[in-house]
Parts: sequence; C-alpha cells; structure tokens
Amino acid sequence: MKGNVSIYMYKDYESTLVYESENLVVDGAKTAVVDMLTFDRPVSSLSNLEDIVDPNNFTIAAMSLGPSRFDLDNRTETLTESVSGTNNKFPILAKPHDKTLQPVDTSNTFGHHLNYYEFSSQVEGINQLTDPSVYEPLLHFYGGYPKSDTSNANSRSFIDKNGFIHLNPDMLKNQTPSIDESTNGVIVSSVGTVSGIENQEVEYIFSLSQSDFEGLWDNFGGIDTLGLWVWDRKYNARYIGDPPYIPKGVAATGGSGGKHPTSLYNFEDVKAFPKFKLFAKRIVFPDGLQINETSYDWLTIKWKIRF
Amino acid sequence: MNFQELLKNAKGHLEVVKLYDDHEEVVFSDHNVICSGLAANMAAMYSSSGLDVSSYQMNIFQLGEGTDATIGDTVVPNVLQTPLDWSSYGENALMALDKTTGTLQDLSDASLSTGEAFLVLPQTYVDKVNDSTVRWNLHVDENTANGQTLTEIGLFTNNPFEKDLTAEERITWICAYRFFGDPSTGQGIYKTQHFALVFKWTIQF
Repeated sequence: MKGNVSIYMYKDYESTLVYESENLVVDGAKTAVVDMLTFDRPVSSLSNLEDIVDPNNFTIAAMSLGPSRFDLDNRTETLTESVSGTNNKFPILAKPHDKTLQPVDTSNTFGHHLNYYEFSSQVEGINQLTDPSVYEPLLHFYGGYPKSDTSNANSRSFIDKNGFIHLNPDMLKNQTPSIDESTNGVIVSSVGTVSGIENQEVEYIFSLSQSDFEGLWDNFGGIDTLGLWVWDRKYNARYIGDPPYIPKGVAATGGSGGKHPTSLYNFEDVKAFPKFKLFAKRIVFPDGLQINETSYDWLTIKWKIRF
Repeated sequence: MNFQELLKNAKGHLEVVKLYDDHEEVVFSDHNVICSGLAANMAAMYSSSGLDVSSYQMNIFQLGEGTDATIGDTVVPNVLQTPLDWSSYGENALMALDKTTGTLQDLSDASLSTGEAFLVLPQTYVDKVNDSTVRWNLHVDENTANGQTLTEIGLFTNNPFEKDLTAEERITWICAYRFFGDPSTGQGIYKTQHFALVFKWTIQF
C-alpha cells in the first residue's frame, strides 16, 4: 500500500497547495487487513449483530496531528514554556514498525497533540461534563486545540481528549466529497461506481480551522507529524465491549456536520476510552508545516491511500 | 489486470497435499500470484458504506483444469483458464462445504462470465498465522472432482458489491491465482477417490 499526503490552504473556497509528499504505511495496516480477513462472524441471532459486523470497525477511523519529539518533550517540562512552531526541531524519522507518530513517554502516551494537558498527577481523565457534546475539561488545561468558543474542533465535538480526530459521523461517502463536510471531522471518499475501483484509491480529507492551527502553532510546536488510525479492536473488545466503540453521530441542529450525541470525552474510566492502532504516518520536512499567510479559512489535509 | 501497490508487500504461497488414509504427500509448494482484485477489494471495503465485513472476506474458491493463466508472472489473470463446472465436481462433491454461483468481473466493470461454480470455505478454516499473515485451508475430499486433472486454483472475494444473495447472484473478483500443473507438460493432478487434496494458501501482507 502506498499513500500520498497533500495539504491545501483554503480561502473563500480557493485552494493553494502548501505541502505534498508520500506517506509511510506502517505495520499496523497489515494487522488491520489480517484482522478483517480472519474475523469470525458471530451467529446471526445476536441483537447487535449489525454493529458487530459493520465494516467501519475494521477501517480507518481517525486522524491525528503532532509536533516533533522535541516539542513533545519540551511541552511537558514546564507548563509555562511556550513552544512555538518556529522553534521546533526535526522529528524522529518514520519507521515501518512505529505505533505512534513520535516516541511516547509517561506524560504523553500517544505521541501527538492531545486535547488536554494533564498538569496534576491526581487527575486521571475528564469527568462529569455539564454539556457532554462540548469539551470542557474541569481539572486540565486545554491542549493544543483551543477552547470550544474559538476552536472548531472542540465546538463541533469531533476530536476526543486524546487528540484523535474522528470521522464526521454525518458524512456521505461519495466520489467527490464536500470540503464543507471535512470541517466536521475526517471524511472518506467512496469508489462509488464499479469503474471507480480501477485506481484502487481511497481519500481521507480533514479541514483544520485557522484558529485550531494557530493553537497548535503558538504553544505546542505546530504540525510536524500526521497519522491515520484504525480501531484497536483487541483492546476495545477487552475494555469497551462490542461495537460501536463510540456513540454513533447525528446531524447537528441547523447545519451540516455531526456532533456525536453524547460525549467523545465523557468516559469516567480512562481505560474505557476506545483506542486506535496506527495505520499510516507522515513526517513533515523540513521544519514542520509552515504557513505564511495570516488569513485563511481552512488547512485541508487530503490523504490518499492506494491499495 | 496489473500488479498493484499492494503487491509490493503482499506475497503468497500455495502448498498442495495429497492426503491418503495412511500418509500424506506434498505435491506442490511454491509462491502464488496476487491479482489486483485483492487491492480492489480492500479499496472497496475502506470506502464502503456497506453493512457486513464478511462481504469483503475471501472464502470462495475455484478449481480448474486449464493451462497456466499467467505468462511469466507479468500478466495476472482475471479468471481461471478452465474452471470446473458443477458436473465436474461430481454429485457427491464436498458434502461439508457450501457451494455457490457467481459472476466474475474485471475492474473496469466488465462482466467476464456468469453462473460460475464456487466452493465456499467456512471462516473457521481461515487462520491468522501472525499479525501479517493469513492462511486458507481448503480440503477437497475423496468424493470431489474425481476423474478431473486439476491444474489451477483461484481465491476470490466474497461479495464486494454487497448483493442480497437471497435474491441476486454475487459479483466477485479474483484475488489470488496459482497454476500447479507441470510447467513443461501442463500435466496436473489426476483426482481419484483414493485421496483427498488439501490446499494450504498463505498470504503475507
């Protein structure tokens, strides 16, 4: 499998290509394929059979963005230290057996931008939210993604606390997916017609708002790494149970896109939060993703996987 | 069809074993040919709005008695050269296995043949060897395909168009192929009631 990452800057629906390169499909992709081919379909009398056999349990379910290892380390040394994207160092190179975007440690077990910043050892998770559809950490600072009143990611509730940008639950898969839909989470193209299968390519698209990018850039090192993730079915089966691993989305009132009907964050037991396995990654060289423009609407990531 | 990106990493191996009452004999052991239907099947599933993951699993097989459908491993087949029909499998064939018919297509939407005879392998015969390897174990019993000279086998995706199989015929693509006859004489395995054949097909991604 091969992949290609293109990043466009959108202003008033006019796009400018700002980055393009091939990705690395990691070993987790092989595991995902084998997992699907060897899945033993349960007996048909189960009431939740439809959820269990849903093909979406076996395919790419999230995207994540991260800084370099240096910035991950630096960010955890002191809360007050600002790590601007302009100061970042080269990230650790990608390898086929990688399971995260950058090496992890006890303070960041995911290796990419989190949606919260844990500053106290007594805090383990985000509990009892007043509005389960909007991220409001009680005992944490916000992470790289800004507060919900300025962050598109948090206000529209498609990013979980661990920094995984979920699929837009309201998307329609088609051959020419709408950029608007990609502002509400990751969307997936469809091969559509039979003849469309000839190029054997699937495209994942996500649009990051300017405020979200600036939140990552100003204090958290910007974007040096990108990843696509599949569900970790083995972990989730043990700690979550049967799919769906998160509530299925519904269309947001009065607009396109889908908030999840209950929270992506409101898991009192941290271990009960569903996990993912890395499928593909890209390290952005040189020196991270640099955006010189001061005014734009979206950074749109288009990630093609060719099987 | 052509080699596709998945082929850069995926490789397969086919072992054919004659199984007698008192002993067994490996009669063929070599790499296979990955066909572009495998990549198409994965692309279809990853972009699917479909309902059932089992539609994208690969549990249906064909046996054939044709010549090698590949030419120096550079041309990948769409179909077996001469697949067996139901009468060739025999009246008492594979009592333990389901059988099905289907339509074969290439990736340009062209129908290659309809009413093809397929053997359905239960999922319990599909093993996860390790995190990157799958093995299919097809057992062709003593009552099946007797009197036929078997030379080729194909592995197909189940139902990538998610047809309602109670009302429609499945449409499928070939995902892997292997000619196991003698490359110089074309001579294959003459099947009799004295032995069963076991096909152990391994694909490493």
